[in-house]
Amino acid sequence: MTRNYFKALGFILGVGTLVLFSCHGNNSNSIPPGTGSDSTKSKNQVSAADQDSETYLLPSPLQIASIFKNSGLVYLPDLTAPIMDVSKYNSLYEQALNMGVYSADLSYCILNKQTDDALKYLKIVKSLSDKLGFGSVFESNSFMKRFEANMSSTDSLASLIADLQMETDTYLENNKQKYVGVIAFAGAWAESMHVGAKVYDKNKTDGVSSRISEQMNILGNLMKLLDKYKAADSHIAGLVDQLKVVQTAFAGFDEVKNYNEDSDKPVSLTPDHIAQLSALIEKVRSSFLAS
Amino acid sequence: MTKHKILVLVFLVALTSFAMGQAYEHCDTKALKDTCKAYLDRPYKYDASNVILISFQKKAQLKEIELPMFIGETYKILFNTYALPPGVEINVYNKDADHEGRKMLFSCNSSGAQKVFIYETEHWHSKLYIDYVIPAAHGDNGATDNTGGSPDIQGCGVLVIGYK
Repeated sequence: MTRNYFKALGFILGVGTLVLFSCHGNNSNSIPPGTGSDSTKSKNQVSAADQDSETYLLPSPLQIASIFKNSGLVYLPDLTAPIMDVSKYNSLYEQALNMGVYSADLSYCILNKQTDDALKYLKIVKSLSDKLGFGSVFESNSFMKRFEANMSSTDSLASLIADLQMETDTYLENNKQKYVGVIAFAGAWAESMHVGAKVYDKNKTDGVSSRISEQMNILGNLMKLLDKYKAADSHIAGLVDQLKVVQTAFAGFDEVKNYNEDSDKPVSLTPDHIAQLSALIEKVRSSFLAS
Repeated sequence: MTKHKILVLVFLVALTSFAMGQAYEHCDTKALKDTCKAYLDRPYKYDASNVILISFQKKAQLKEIELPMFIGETYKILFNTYALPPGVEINVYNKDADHEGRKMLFSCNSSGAQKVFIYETEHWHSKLYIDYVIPAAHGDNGATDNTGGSPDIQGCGVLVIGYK
């Protein structure tokens, strides 16, 4: 009787195993790269934000710095944010926002071969990443060592920062913290615009003025994303209000109201309107540094 | 007694098989992005990326991604469809889905043997719109009836953008 019992058990387990494999519908036996399971991720839980039918992408701070640089933005000393003690930033919001500010300054310094300052900004970005919980992104890829080893090559440093951006984006996505990246981008955007506007104010380069107006497209996407994630952090609503002042002012300029969207050029702002935008951005940026 | 034990065992095995059949393979977004990044040779650098989660519904779906572009910049957009279920189309346009007469600039899908697709921009557009067209659920592709609760994910699409 016992032998019959175990025979039956073996038969049932064998059938069960066949049923199990046949139920994996679309998945082929040769598993393509990138589809392995990861036991650290939560199963089946998809947030409402992940299921939206529309998504808005944001450029990296490095790309923004790069397009400004290519348009004639030169390096001026004392424009970038003073490096503060990271213990000053207590909330996630402050840490993310200022990480963005310093990331923009890091990119500006790298592209203008200010490598000593770039290293200082990289260190504070790392410190803030540690506080935000993803300092491991730096360690797992030995970014600090690689950065220090490539200080003489602007292109290598820029590539390293781009790689770091990808690792950070992936980390935030996998840990359902995309909103942290969006807050950081707000800091980076304001800082990049501050630098662009200040340099334009001094040199009046046409290329820089058209980049300033081009960046207002990005502000539109940033606002939509902040709105999407406003439930994630109580400070986001206030941030949206601050940026809305800039967006509203821009939308009210005649050259913007009369702009042909099919044009192959960005809006051409008058020097006076650039000055107005610059003043508004300064106010926003100052509030970020004071937080 | 023996019959009873056998019935219990059959029930347990069936339950286990059903439960495991419902588990889905997670998207290893890092591996999928790393695959794309291998195609971003210098002078291109990584700029941004996106992961789109697929869950079949009774009706076809459109998921649109808006990508701003800067004048004078050249972009390489890489689409990794390894983790997408078959039948998903990916189209790139110069205007959003509400614009009639928009121009399709690029198209690929998840059904063939090729799994990584590359689109290099040739002309400037202030924005690009990347549409993932997800077919309606059919037969055994694991549709949900979307009556509430979290939907099951049947796969994901990854895109990586590089700039020169």
